[in-house]
Amino acid sequence: MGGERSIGTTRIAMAFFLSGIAALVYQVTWQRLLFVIVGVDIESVTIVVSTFMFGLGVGAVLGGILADRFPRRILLAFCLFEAAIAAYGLISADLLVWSGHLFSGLDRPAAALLSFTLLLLPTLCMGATLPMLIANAFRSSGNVGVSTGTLYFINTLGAAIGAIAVGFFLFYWFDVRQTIAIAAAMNLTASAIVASALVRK
Amino acid sequence: MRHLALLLSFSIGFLSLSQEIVWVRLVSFGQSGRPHAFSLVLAAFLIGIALGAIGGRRLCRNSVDLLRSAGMVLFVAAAVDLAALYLGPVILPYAPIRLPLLVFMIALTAGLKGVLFPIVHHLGSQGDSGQVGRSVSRIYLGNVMGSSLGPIVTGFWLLDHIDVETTLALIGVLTAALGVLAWAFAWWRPGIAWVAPAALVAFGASSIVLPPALVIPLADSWGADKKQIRHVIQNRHGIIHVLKPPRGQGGDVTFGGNAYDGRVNVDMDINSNELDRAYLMAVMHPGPRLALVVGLSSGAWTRAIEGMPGIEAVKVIEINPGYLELIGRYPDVAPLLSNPRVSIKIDDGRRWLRAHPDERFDLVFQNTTWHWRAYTTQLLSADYLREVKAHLKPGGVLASNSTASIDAYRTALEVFPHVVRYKGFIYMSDQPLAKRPDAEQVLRASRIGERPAFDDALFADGGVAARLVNDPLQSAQDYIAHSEGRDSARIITDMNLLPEFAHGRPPLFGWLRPLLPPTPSREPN
Repeated sequence: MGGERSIGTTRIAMAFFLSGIAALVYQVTWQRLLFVIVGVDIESVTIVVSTFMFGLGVGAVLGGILADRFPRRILLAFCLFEAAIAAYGLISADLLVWSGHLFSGLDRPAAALLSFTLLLLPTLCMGATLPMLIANAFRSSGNVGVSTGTLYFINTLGAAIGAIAVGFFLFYWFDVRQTIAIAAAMNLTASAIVASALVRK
Repeated sequence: MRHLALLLSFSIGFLSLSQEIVWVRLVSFGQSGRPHAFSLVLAAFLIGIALGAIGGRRLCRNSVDLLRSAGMVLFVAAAVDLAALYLGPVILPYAPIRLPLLVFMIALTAGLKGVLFPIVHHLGSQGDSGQVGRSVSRIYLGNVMGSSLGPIVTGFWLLDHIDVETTLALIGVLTAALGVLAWAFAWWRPGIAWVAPAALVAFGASSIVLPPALVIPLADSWGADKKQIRHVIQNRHGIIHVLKPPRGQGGDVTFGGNAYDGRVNVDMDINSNELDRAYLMAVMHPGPRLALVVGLSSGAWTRAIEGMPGIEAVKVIEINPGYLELIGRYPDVAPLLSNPRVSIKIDDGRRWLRAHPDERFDLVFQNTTWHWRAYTTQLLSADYLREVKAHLKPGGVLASNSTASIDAYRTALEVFPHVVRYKGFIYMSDQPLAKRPDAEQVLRASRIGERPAFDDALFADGGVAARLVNDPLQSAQDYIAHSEGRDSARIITDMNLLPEFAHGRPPLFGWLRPLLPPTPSREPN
């Protein structure tokens, strides 16, 4: 039993690590694409960063509610959310470029609203995963602080590696569209890792 | 306790992201706007947060009084924030040997605040074992809301009103104040233990009043004493500094984001800006009336264009209003600000073009910054050139600085049928480009204010005006064919970010070089 649990914990850790890498790759690449719509001045940077954060926050609330309401299906929800992020990722480059052309010439508030709309769904999914996994880990650890610390460490370490990868390696070898596809592949892998554990169970 | 945990969670997010904004500003400045600066700060910041979470987890497991421990961590965090302010001139200059220290310092400032993350979740969820998901998400939401508001308040407002040094000091003091709050709730007893926090707050407050210089020690001074820096303008858009002219000649030297911008000089006898590259447009276009300048900088180029014969109106799009403040201080260029034929808009150039699809120009000019700097793809890509092309009247000319990027020539040829090169500038048009038969008259009619732009002597053999009139134009095809980098020249797109990364300057880490594609040899500008 203990062995099964440790395998499950390792799988979740691996999945959340990959999810963290992908999240940062998305953040940097989507920023690049949105800058074409909203410009590259400090106002635009602030709009994109704050939109990202807002989506994560709303997603966290959603994830917390889902975790309490469906405690036995937390991991399944994680798999679905990761798959949804991947699906959005795969269409995101075309969607953002297309939106940039379609809505060119928007004034600042309208461009901010457009950025918000375009990023809401994926950031919401990203934000939901942490509370869901903390609630899941709490069932075995019994200590919120310990569960939060562990999962946040894993996810944030992945994010740091994502930041290094995208700025020092991926953009040298791949274009923005290919870089996003790599991130989507990571989300799908994360989803598959946890899903395979669920199937075995 | 839940409310305090929520407040701490919000505040930590706010201060962390504010500090990240400040680090990005400083590291970008120290690295002259290289695109790696953002990734470097982000990675160091996240590593710190991750390790901080581990530290917080340990405290959650072992500490008997978490709130008191949280206060102690915040005091240490504040001390490190203030230490970073004073160590800035040592760790921020662009040098491989200093990089590990910089990464360590960014990670430490972030990590100490990251320690609080598990703690506030633990404190905010006490007695909530039935609804852990909700209680965690509430505290997490508070953190994310603080993280959202931090960039807005600091990046948008604070950096527009106070300099980056004072902002960093303020973050340290606010972190210390949070520590005081945590201790006050956990352990409110007067005694010797409060001496250190009080001293910390006092030291932080003195640093706000008299912050140490961070920008000037980092500023490029072309090897001269830093006392040669005449002006520093900081606002939310960035940092501009101005250097006195080396050997007293050629006009003051302006830097935007610590990268060379140009000289405050319109004297063609000296020609320290090589403004002849702007006058070539007037020599080639049969009758320019409307001009667009993307990027005002020190105003010298716009001053030259505005004085070309036949020019009725010049629109200028500048992203940083600090340049207007700078221009107002120099009599050579200050008349631009009151010239009714010159209208200056503060905006992103590309966004302005998209927002004004019906505007058409005879001349579009951009003295593009170095191609290896962050976000230059936005102004060099084929996608952008197509957008500018749509704003040119038939026969209109776009002039852009290649800054030695052979890809910029290749890209220009992809979008425009007629492309020529002159002193590192690329001239593009839908009509064949050739010098006007009356080129000399055009130059003689050009004005800087009331006086001729070119003295008679400049029309003598070898003079800059004579060369503008007589030297043959070089086609971009010919230039590429004779360049060392001809085989590596590629089309720049919004998607490939070529000038910034694969064909930009490699990152500072030498050991990364074998893992990256080869950078093409640099072309003469």
